[in-house]
Order: sequence, then structure tokens, then C-alpha cells
Amino acid sequence: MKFSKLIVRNLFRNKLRAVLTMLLMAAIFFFVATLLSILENFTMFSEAGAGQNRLAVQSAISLVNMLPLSHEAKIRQIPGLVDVCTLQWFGAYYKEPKNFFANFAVDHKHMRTVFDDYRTSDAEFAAFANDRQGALVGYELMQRFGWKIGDRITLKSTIFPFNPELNIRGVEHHPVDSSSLFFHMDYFEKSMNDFGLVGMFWVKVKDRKDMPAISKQIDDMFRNSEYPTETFTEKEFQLNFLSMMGDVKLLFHAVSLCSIFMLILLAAITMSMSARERITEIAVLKAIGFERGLVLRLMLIEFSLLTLIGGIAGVAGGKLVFRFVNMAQVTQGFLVNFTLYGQSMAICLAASVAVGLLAGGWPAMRAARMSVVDGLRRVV
Amino acid sequence: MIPLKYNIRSLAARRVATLMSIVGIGVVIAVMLSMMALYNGVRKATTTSGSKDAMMVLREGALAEVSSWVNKDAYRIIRALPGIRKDAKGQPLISPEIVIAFKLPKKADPKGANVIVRGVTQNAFALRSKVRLTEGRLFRPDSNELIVARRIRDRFANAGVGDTFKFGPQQWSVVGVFDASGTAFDSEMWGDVNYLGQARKRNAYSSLLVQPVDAAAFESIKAEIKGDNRLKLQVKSEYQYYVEQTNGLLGIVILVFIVTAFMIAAAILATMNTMFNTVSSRKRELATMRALGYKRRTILLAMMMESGFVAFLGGVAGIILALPVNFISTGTINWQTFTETAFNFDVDRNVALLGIILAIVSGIIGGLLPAIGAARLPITQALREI
Repeated sequence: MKFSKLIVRNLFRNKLRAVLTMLLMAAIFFFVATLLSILENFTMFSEAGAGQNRLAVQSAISLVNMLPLSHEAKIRQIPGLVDVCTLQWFGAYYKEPKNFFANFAVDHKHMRTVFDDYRTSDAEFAAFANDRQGALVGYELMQRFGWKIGDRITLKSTIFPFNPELNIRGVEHHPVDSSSLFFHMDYFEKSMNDFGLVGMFWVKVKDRKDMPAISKQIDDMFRNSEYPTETFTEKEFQLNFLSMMGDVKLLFHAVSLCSIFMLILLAAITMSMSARERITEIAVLKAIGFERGLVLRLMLIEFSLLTLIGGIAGVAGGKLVFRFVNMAQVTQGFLVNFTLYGQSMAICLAASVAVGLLAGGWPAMRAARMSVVDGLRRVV
Repeated sequence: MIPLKYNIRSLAARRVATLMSIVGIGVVIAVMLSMMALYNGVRKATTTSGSKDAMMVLREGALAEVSSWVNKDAYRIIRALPGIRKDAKGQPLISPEIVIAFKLPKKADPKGANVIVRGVTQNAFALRSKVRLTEGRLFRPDSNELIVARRIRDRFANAGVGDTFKFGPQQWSVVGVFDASGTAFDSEMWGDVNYLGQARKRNAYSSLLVQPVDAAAFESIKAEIKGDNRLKLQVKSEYQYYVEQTNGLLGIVILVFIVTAFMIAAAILATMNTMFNTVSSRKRELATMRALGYKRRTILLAMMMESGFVAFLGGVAGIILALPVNFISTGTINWQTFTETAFNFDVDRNVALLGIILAIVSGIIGGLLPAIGAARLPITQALREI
């Protein structure tokens, strides 16, 4: 475009002002992109099991209530199942409470059929299966604590009255959940003096069309027992956790919107300053034949370029920051595999252009509309 | 010294720009204040819940009551220890409690969330003076009746006086509503401990709350319990227990700190931006003042004051904008107990004051560079500037 030089020159006519505005844009868009990415990170987690045809069976009374192991045999009688696996949230930490992470007791005999999206080499899995005190550990968790295969670790329990002593036998890989630890359900039951209760059953279904019917069948089966169940699809189960966090989504969106609103106001000040400064100049441009529409377009392009550069700086800076800052460590395992995601970055870039147009619209229009005579006469 | 009137007049002369920066900074401060108010609410809910001289007895290693077991033998042993305050009838003030989570549908979300149900005896009310019945009546002993915190009633469906719900085979009915003045109990439902134990087939308590006669008795009872190998129990003050519960709310705390840090940075950059604009639009004016004999220092001070003043007004605007969030009640999951903890956004005097101070400080920091620029203007060149 033949006016690109004009635009760039105008953009940096006051370098300090341009840089400051860009910095402000960058800071806020880094922030907004982070908030949106946190939401996206949560959603990714809740969709990790999509297409796995898994149902989660838990106590209808509440998540922290347990179910008798004898439910398993009854569930298995339902036709159309691939397998059933018991799973117990163990809630322990390593050495200090701040080293908290997801750890579970799991039935190793059925783990590989139900949770077949968790990958471990056959040799490592066999070593895990043969050691009653063996553990499978997500690779990110291995890195976090610097563990190696063969290490012996003790977990401090917060829920159950024993501290498991475990031998790391294998590394587990999963596209989203790479920071969980699994150990033997047998070890858990024995250490709890065969207490016969478990938190959850995970049911893998052959045909996803059967999932609603099977889920209803399970709940009906136990409706009038001492231990009624509530069955969710994996996605519903994960979303329950999200909704338990409260109105986080609303809060994040409100904070993001407020921040962007503030950007519009502050950018408008800068831009009206910048437009006022060059009223004479614009009058000259118009006098030599630039049309009003063209002047307006040039200014709007300049303003939105200003905010867009800020937005790009913020988003790219954020991407870089999260490459070096391990959010799993900073947030103590709360955010795993965290980075800025495409969708959030795209929203931020679009918003940064919108800020430029919204904030610059009025000053640019006023400047472009002013009559040539007035503009030339005007002493700023 | 340049009179403050000069600053105010020049702000008034640039009405629109000034107003926009005030509102802009105001929005930043308001977002920051709401975050602090959220944190304040969480902190109040945790630090005001427990009394410093009451003792909480839990299973060794348990971080929360929901995951603790104290069997009835242990209760009997501890009840007989010397040093426990007696009530009017001469009975020791010790409250055995069962804490269980029930899932209830929320008004806003039919899938519901877990709510703590606390089984108690009369002693629980004697030990927790902040819990007051505001509606209906107390539950009868050995019955399926519950009293419900006001905030739970407001957030959850079907939890008012006269409502009933089912957990497993048992039916429960709500007979009263209580208020616990912002403490953690505002997220709970209370019922009879014996009935709750039978209904949920639990023959152990979750925790014991003990009121010792004095600080010395606190220590001696604690030593006694720790020294008894049969018990395997831990003792801490009730206050400490609730403060430690904040760990389960880490997500909120991290969020608050991230947002506050960014908002302070934004406020600094915003004032800096505004001040550079003001300075550059009145170079001639400032140069004239220099020419009239005002010292650099004086100009610097005047500009800083102006910046601080704009930020102060922004802070005030922020408080006004943030006031509507005050008392909004919200809830989040406590990751230690997987139950919902309710709290209010709490914009109190301290939060407001902190907001104003942070606004002024960021105004002064942000105004520093532009003010130096203004003081250093080369007079002749600036006078020529149009």
C-alpha cells in the first residue's frame, strides 16, 4: 500500500507515547489472554475423555461418600460393557502439603481396558502389575519431583489413615492428564483392613449410543439400596468439578471486559491527543487533494495498528513467559500443561484491533471532518 | 510553590480527557478492589470461624474434618480429662461432631454442589457463639431435622424452612435457618449428631471441639492427648484449623494475586500515559512558568501532585464502582474437602483504603517520568512550540 510509510511515520511521531500505549495494551492483553487460557485449560481437561465412552459411577449422596465394592459385580451383569474399573481418589501429598497432586488407587487388572488412553510401555506396566506397592506416574509429575523409575517414595495421606510406600515402576503418558499417580487398589484395601468401600467405578461402554441407557440402568439398580449411585459421562463428571469452582467463568469474563473497557478509555485519550496535534497537517493533506474518507481510513488504520502491535506484544510475550515459567509449579499443580491457547490469543488480537477502532473512531472522525480553512487557521 | 489551584484548574480545562483518565483508572482500581474484596471475604470466613482458645481434635494426618475419624472410645477418654470447662449443669464443654458432605441441587445449577452437614449436640451452640438461629426453630434431638445456613438457603434450591430432601434412603426436613456472621459455618447445615451417625452408618465422630478452662489447661490436655498412644489424634486450636483451610482455596488466592499485580501495573502505565499526554499538550505553558522564574523542582512537584491527584480521583471512582459488588455472595469449591465454601465480596474500610493508597502510589510512580520530562523542558524550544 502506497501510504504505508505515512502511516508508520505517524504511528511513531511521538515515540514515547506510542511505546507507552503499546506497553499498556501488551500488559492488559497478556493478562486477558492468561485468564481466557485458564478457562480453556479447564475445558480441555473436561474434554480429555471425549470419545472414550466412559461412565463414572459415584455415590449419589456426595462425591466424598463411598460405595461398596460389591456394586462392581452387579454392574458387570449389565450387557454392553467393555469393562469396569474401581478408582479411589487418595488425596495425599509428597513430603509437604504444598506438593499436592492427583493420586489414585486403581484396580490394575482392569485399568488398561478402561483407561486405554493412558499409555505405558508393556514392560513397565508388567513391572507395575507385579509389585503390589508399585506406582505409575505421569511424566510431568516425574519431572516436577525429579523422580526416576525404581525410586521409592512415601506419600502423606490426608484422607485415609495410612501413608503408602510406593515403588515407581512406570511412566504414564496422556495428552492432557500427565501429572497423576496411580497405585494398586489391593494395597489400598489391605492397608485399610479390607474396608470394602471405594469412591468410584469407571465403566467403559461398547457403543456410545448405549451410554444414557446404561447409566440409567446402573442408577435404577441401586436407587433403593443403602448406597444409591449417580452415574455421569466422563465429560459431565469433569464439568461437575468446574461448576463446583463457582462462577469462575463469569468472574474471568467480567474482569476481562472491565480491563478492555479501561483500555478503550485510555487509548481514546492518547488518540485524541495525537489527532489534535496534526489538525493543521490534515488540513494540508486535504488541501492537496486527499479525500475525507481516505484521511479517516489512514488514521483508523494507524490507530488500530498501534493497539494491534500492543496486543501482539502481549500475547507473544505471554506465550514466551509460559514457556519458561512452569505454571504447574507456580500454582502447585492447579494448572497443568499451561500455555496461551490459540482461541484465547485470537480473541485478544481481535479485541486489540477493536480497541483501536473504538477509541480512535471519534478523534479520527472529528479530525477528518474539520474544514480545510478551519484546520489551517487553527493554532493548536 | 505553585498553588494546587493551578493543577485543579488545568485538569478542569481538559475536562473530557481528565474524566476519561479518572474513569479508566477507576475501572482498574475497581477490578483490583473486587479481587481484594473476594480475598477479604475468604480470609474473614476462615479467620473469624475459630476461637483461639478452643481445641480441635482430629485424626493424625487429617487436613479437614470431612476426612477425619475420632472413635467413641477416644471421645470418652478425652471427655474425662481434667481441665475442660464445665457448663451450668456441671458437664464438660466438649462437642463431638460428625461432618459429612451431601450433594444438593443449586438454584443456579441443578447438578448441584456438595454441602457440609454437621451433626452436633447442644454443646456446639455453646462453643460457637456466632451461630444464631434467625428463622424457624432448632432441630429436635434424635430426629431427621436440619437447620440450614442462610447463605446455603439462598444459593441452593429447596433448602428453606419446611422443605424436605432425600439423601440415600433417608428423608431430611429443614426446620430452621441460622446466620453465622460470615464464618465458615455459613456454608453448612446442622443436625443431630446421633441421628446423622446412625443414618449414615458411622460409628465414629469426625472431630471433637473442646473448651479448656484456660491456656495452661489447653497445653496440658494437648500433651495428654498427644502422649496417649491409643488415640493417634492431633490437636490444634480451632482458629488454626480454619486458617489452614485456606489452603484448599488456593485457586482463589492465586487468582487474586495475579489480578492485583496486573491491575497495579496497568494503573501505573495508565497514569504515565495520561501524564505524558498532559505534559506534552502544555509544553508552552510549562516553559512560560519556568521563564517566570519557577524552579525545576517546583514544576516537578506540581506535576507529580497533579498525577497523584488524578490517580486519587481514579481511586475514589474505583471505590464507587466497586461498591455494588459488596455483599454479593458467591461460593467456590474447597479442594481439601470438595465441598462448597460460601463467602461474600467484602469491600470494607481497609480494602477501600488500600485501594486509594495503591492508586495514589501508582499515580506518583507513573507521574515521575513525565514530571521529570516537564521539569527538564528546554525553555526556549518549548516556548516556540505550538
